[in-house]
Amino acid sequence: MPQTNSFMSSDRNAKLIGLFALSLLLFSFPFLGLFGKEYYVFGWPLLYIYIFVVWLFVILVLRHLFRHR
Amino acid sequence: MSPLSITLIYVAYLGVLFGIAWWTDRSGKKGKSLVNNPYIYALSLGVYCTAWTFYGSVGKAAQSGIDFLPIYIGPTIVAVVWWFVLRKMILISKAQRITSIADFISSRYGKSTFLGVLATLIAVFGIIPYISIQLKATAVSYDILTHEGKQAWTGEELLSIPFYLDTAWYIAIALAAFTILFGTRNLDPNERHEGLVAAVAFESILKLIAFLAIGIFVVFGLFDGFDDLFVQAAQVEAVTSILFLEENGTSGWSWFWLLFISMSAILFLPRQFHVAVVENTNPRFVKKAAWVFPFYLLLINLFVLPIAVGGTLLLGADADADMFVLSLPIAEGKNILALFVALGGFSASASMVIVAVTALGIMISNHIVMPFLLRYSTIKTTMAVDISDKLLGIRRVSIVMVMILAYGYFKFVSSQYTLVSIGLISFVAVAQFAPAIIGGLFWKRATRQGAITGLLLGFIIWFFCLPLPTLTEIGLITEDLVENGAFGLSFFKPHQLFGITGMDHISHGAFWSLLFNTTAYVGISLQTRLSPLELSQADLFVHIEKYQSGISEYDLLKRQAKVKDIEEIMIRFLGAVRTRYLLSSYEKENDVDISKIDAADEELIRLAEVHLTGAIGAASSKIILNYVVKEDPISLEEMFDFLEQTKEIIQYSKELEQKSSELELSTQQLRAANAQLKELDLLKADFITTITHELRTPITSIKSLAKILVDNHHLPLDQQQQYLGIIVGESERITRLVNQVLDLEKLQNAKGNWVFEALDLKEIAQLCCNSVAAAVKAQHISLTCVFPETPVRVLGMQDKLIQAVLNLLSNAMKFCDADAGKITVHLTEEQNKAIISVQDNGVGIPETEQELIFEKFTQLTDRQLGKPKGTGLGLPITKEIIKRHGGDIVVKSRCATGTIFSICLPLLDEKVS
Repeated sequence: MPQTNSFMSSDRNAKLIGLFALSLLLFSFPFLGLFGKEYYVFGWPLLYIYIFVVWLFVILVLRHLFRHR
Repeated sequence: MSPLSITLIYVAYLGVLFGIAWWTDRSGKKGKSLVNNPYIYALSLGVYCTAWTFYGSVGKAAQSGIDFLPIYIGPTIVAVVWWFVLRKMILISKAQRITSIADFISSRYGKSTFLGVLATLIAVFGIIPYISIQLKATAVSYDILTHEGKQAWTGEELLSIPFYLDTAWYIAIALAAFTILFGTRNLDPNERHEGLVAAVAFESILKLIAFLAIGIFVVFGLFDGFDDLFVQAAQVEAVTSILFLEENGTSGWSWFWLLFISMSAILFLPRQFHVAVVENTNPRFVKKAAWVFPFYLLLINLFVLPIAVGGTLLLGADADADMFVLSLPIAEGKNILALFVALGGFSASASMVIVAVTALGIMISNHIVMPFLLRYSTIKTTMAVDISDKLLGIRRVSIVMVMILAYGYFKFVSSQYTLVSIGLISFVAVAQFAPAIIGGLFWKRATRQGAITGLLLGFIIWFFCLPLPTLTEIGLITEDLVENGAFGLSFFKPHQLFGITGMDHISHGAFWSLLFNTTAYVGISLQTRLSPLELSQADLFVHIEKYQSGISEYDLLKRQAKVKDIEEIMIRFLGAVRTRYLLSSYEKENDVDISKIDAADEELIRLAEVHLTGAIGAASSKIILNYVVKEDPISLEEMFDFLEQTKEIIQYSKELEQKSSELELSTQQLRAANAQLKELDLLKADFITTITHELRTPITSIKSLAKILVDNHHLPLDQQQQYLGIIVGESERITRLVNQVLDLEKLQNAKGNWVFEALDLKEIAQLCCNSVAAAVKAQHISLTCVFPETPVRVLGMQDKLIQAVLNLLSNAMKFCDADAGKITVHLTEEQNKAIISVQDNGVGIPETEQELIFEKFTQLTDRQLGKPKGTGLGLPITKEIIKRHGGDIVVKSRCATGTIFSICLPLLDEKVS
């Protein structure tokens, strides 16, 4: 369905830009500073858990945006 | 383990890789492409993870914690917008047959030969340090395997031993040979190497598995899971500092620059461009790769920190952290695991070297050697030999040269530094492409001069700030330059350019080089003009979607060539078989016979150009085609003419539109006028019927009475008198009617000379009332006059005004109540106006007809009698008179309550008179 496709893709484009901005923000140094404290989650230092969770989040959102389209 | 067995295993591994490549190429030729798969595509992007990732990340993590991560987070962030950037680059490259990053930049800016050379030089000099660390990692890991966890030579010793004792030398030779086998077996017009891609994808899987294996071994074999590892780490102060941000000294500034340069590296490293753009088989694969590739990066980074922490805990902070992944299993006696990990590391290095050197070889041969050969040898001698063999030879030589340079850099420089610190130098070099490419993709105004100046400045500053200081070891420059600045100028220190301090070397170099690069790129672009070819290429890059869907309106280049010449060139560079195939499919598509036509059209020239570009690059194909194609670029004037014409056409069509709307308006007006005329015509016909009826009635009675008088001579005298009296009365009626018609016509048509004098309206009103008094009394109508005491002065003609007032009075008498008639005449002054109104108590005038009564020939029908009472000319005459006096007449009426006609006249201004 080409008509719905173009509409959906412009919708997706806006979401991609949004995700780009969000990931820049979440990986920015001031944000990391919030999590750089001496604290452990599941045995890991909090900072690394934060980074990997945000990383995985970005991947999953990207996967969702590109699915079935 | 014995060196021989390990060497044999390495060679066998290379054999397996070659087998995969060979098998892939063979099934590709059978039409079954194995690499036409989004997952293979995403895995081939994993060539990003080199020995730097495999060995160097652990070293970096052990040294400064999370600093190893931005190199992988940057690509993840930029993968989010790959759909806009990478896909666009792929679409453009496929449309233009672009085969390398230098080709891309050169094509964007008007197929500039100089830009091609410049970009190639930046790529080669930028990537050589990067290749050298692959040699270093492979050599060191080999030595560790064969020397039971120890390195064969220290950095100091390496500088003095002859090259034939050095493992890295043999590794460089092996990799060069292997690259030649992979990358230069045949000349593909699209520079696509399916076998290479398959091998790279395989290596991506192997290095990931090897790294996960060593990670799991460290965390769960040497320690009791993550908990145990980090709890032990928390007790050692040297290790805790890398776990938490506030203690490890990472700065936001260096974090930012690491993110930025890795964001550009993932797209603009020559090998990344090669696998992501040149080897891409379907732009839609970007969708899958955009999340699969970041996921790959996440997985391969998961165990970096645990290995770094574990290695520091077990082997001590002084051990070479770059080699923890090998020294840990060897220290535990797990030699097989160590060998497997080393193989993973080797595959990481090998894939990088093979792809990078192949890509550099394409660039060197297409953008440096070919333009040189074509320019400085006559076209005859160049074309006398089959160039495609020569081209492969050039590639092979350039591959060997790049490897020798890389080996040299390794031997004298890289051996003294950690893997990551050298790798980052290359990243900053590649980041210099970012302004020219990102700007070129989205900013049409960018010019060749802007790109050249930006790249040149960026490259010079990069070289001065980053690689130059590393050359002190081999005596190319002195310590003095680094310490005290170039030429003894203190603001020319490579690490503190213009006196800036407080930045690490990489951030410092990236900041200054990119600042100058971007500023010059934008500034010079705004100051210079695009040539027609640049403009046409810029349009093709920035608006690729337009060309993709085939709706490009115009080409900026008009070119002419002979078919014979085009064919000859194609045979020289593409081979006879391929040329025949291309030309016959062209003939079929366009339904022409090439042998019968002389002049090649734009389409044929473009066909040749596209395939030549694939074989030898844009700049070279441009040079070759220049020999036979008469390029007739549209001059600026012509272009302006073209634009002017378009503007005129738009203007013209706008005018037409306006005219047509005007026409429509006047049509409407005409139609309205026509309707009015028709109505008037109808009214006139009605009037004539009425007037003739009115005329016929008296004439009939005159005729019949006169006939009686003629026929009967003996009528009594008094009867004769009576009849004659009637005849006189009827004649007067006819005269009155005719006079009125004439009056009105005179009033309306001839302007006449109206002489106004100062009058007292009260006198006129009184005169009129007096003159009708007798008739009013006869009809039993009561007449009331209400006049002010002072005179009401106006300017006018007495006769006419009397006529007007009498008209109103006679109307009132005609229409007032038949039994108890009542007429009131009011005279008042109101705001510089004299108003005289005549009110009756008749049936009134319906609102719909109030407008009509002032029209000529209109008569109100007495609905009770069905016969008009007047001539239908009284009110129009009255109105005309009042109009001549600059006044106005209005009617206010309601059915059954009577009618008021009011005449307004301007009061005479005493002062003026």
